[in-house]
Amino acid sequence: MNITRRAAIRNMLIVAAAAAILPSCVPGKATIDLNNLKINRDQEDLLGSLTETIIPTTETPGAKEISAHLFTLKMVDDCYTAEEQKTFMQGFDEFNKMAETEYKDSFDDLSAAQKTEMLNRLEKGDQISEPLKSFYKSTKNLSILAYTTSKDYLTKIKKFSLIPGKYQGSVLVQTVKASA
Amino acid sequence: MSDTTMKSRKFDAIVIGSGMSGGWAAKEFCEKGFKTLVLERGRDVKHNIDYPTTNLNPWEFDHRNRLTAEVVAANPVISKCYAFREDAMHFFVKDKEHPYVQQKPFDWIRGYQVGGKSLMWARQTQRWSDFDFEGPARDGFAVDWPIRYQDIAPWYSYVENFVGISGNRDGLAVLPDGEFLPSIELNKVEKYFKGVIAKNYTDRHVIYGRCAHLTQPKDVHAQQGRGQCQNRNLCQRGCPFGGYFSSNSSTMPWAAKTGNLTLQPNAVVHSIIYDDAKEKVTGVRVIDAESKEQTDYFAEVIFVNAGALNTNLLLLNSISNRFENGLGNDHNLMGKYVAFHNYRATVSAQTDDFGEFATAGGRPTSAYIPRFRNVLKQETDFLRGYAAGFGAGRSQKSAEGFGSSLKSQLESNALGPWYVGSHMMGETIPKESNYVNLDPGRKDAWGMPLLNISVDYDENDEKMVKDYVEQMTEMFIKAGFKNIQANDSKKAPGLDIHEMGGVRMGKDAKTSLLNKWNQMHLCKNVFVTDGACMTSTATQNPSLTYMALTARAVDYAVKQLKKGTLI
Repeated sequence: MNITRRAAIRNMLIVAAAAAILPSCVPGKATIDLNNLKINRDQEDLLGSLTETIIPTTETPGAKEISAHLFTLKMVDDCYTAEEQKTFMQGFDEFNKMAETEYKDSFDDLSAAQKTEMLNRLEKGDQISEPLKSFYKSTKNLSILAYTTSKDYLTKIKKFSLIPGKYQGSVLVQTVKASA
Repeated sequence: MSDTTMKSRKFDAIVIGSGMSGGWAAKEFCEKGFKTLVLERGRDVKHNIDYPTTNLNPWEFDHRNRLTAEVVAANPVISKCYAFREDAMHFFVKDKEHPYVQQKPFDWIRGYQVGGKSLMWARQTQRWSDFDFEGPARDGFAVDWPIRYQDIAPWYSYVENFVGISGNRDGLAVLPDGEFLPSIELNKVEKYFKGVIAKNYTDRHVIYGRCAHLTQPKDVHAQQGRGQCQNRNLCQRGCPFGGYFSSNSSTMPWAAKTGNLTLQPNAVVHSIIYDDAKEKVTGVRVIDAESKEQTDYFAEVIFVNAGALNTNLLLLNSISNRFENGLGNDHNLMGKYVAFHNYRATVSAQTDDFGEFATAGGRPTSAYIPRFRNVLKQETDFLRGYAAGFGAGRSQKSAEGFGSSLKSQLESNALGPWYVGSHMMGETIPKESNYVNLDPGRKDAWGMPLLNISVDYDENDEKMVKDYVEQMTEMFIKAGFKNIQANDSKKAPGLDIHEMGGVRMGKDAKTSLLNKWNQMHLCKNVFVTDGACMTSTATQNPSLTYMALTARAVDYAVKQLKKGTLI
């Protein structure tokens, strides 16, 4: 109960902050500035839905709240080669088409069960094109990276410390404090 | 030139380079009361002040410490270096800034700044033994070292006490003990492997990897303003505690405190000035890295610590009527007999045992296996041998799937199996065909000739890679490790960052360039005490030996200067 209320307040604050930062959000234009990828607002939101399906909000923040989709776009934009970016965009396109042709709707608007079914198929990889497999794998890995290196995760879930102070070579697993 | 500017350009000693060995030369001269000019070709990096990333958390790096495609594309060489990441890339030379010619593939890893590579080094510090110093004479390559272990042992102690070396007294003839601060422990699996090797072999040992970390600082370290290593394992960013040794945290501020140090960054040394009329070296010619203006500086004694291959470059570029082929280079030996460490192969494995154990905290070192091949006598079809790094660790169990199941795996404390890994550090044989020289035409932005590098592996190295893989695999099998995988990266020389030689020490002026005091046979007031001086490479990480040789050479130079015999 407490956690839910905290989450609700936190979400409210984030929405308020977002509204303050982005008072005149241009329709159609992505909220992130990219140098190489051509992404519109719809695609950005779609990627947000996908990353949120991969790492959903539970009692802890989900992918969207930590902007894993924007991090994914930034990493692909900055760290992928032109060839890898091309594959990513091609796979992204095929991802949209898969939702639209096989589930008759945009991925955003699919039911939770449909989203799960679609991702199960992508995980399995049977009869999935290479670019789509690669797009899914990239998005998943980068979402995991975004989550596991986020401040929330490293400070609240794991007890990350910049200054461990010591090394212990043989501790019993059950006594290990979660650390990253 | 007026007398006043001349006077301001006259020093007792000039040290070229501020890295691992240059920092030591500066400290020793300044402590002995010598007005010392240190010339550093790169920018100034002040301890703590100029470590911009040192306190950043993982989430504060835009790319979570990865390189952008643009950086990788622009830097095919330096991007291969394990430490060239978002958190430390500002301490490495970018490919385009300082070109060189790879006549054969060679990844030249450089750090042009005050502190040089001592900021980002791997901090492993082992003494040589007589098995190493006697190598060339016993096995018939290069020339005999003009020194033996007893010549350098007190100087090892001298620098170890100041630097602070964490280690165990292992009592091994092949790797003499030093002045040690306490070790950090080996973990459960490393201790197990140590036991397996002790049980199965009489001549192989797994020990704690001795390293330049203050595990229990003493007064001399507190006086340097350095504190205890906090096991951050982020050393390449520069350590705010001074927990590991660097010129920046230790020798350079120590030298400055004497009031005798003049540090001049952005000073590219063009050449050492040999005065044909006076028949001696009088100073150095410097090009300002920014204005490109040329200035001469003068001193009674010059220490060359520019970093092994750059020392070769600037000595070869020091031309006079007397020395047409480079300073002190009458027999055209300079630049030849370059060698390095063979780091090509790794062997990894895993174990399903010890699942109830884990580690906590960070550790700036791992375990180490000193050389065991061909030590007492020649026993294989290749010369010399290799040391090996060894480490074990486990990380979070890899997560699968997606959704709340994936998320709870990411948030759980479940650990994957223990992985073990080892890498070889092989001695390579210096030979005439591995050389550097000056490109006859091409020059860099400061008018310095580009360095041609022509260094390659040979048959001996190939056999050594094979033997390392076989022996490490055998040892892993004896330990019951599973999924043993060997890899020969075939990487080019250079990435070991242990290039040595070209201005070797020796007994005879006809077959070497430096005598047993690191003093040029033919220019008595010039000393070379960085990696360029090395007659052979042994298997040890070399920095500790450079530091000891430097302190020893300054001591000698100062005694000779006082006697008036350093001409």
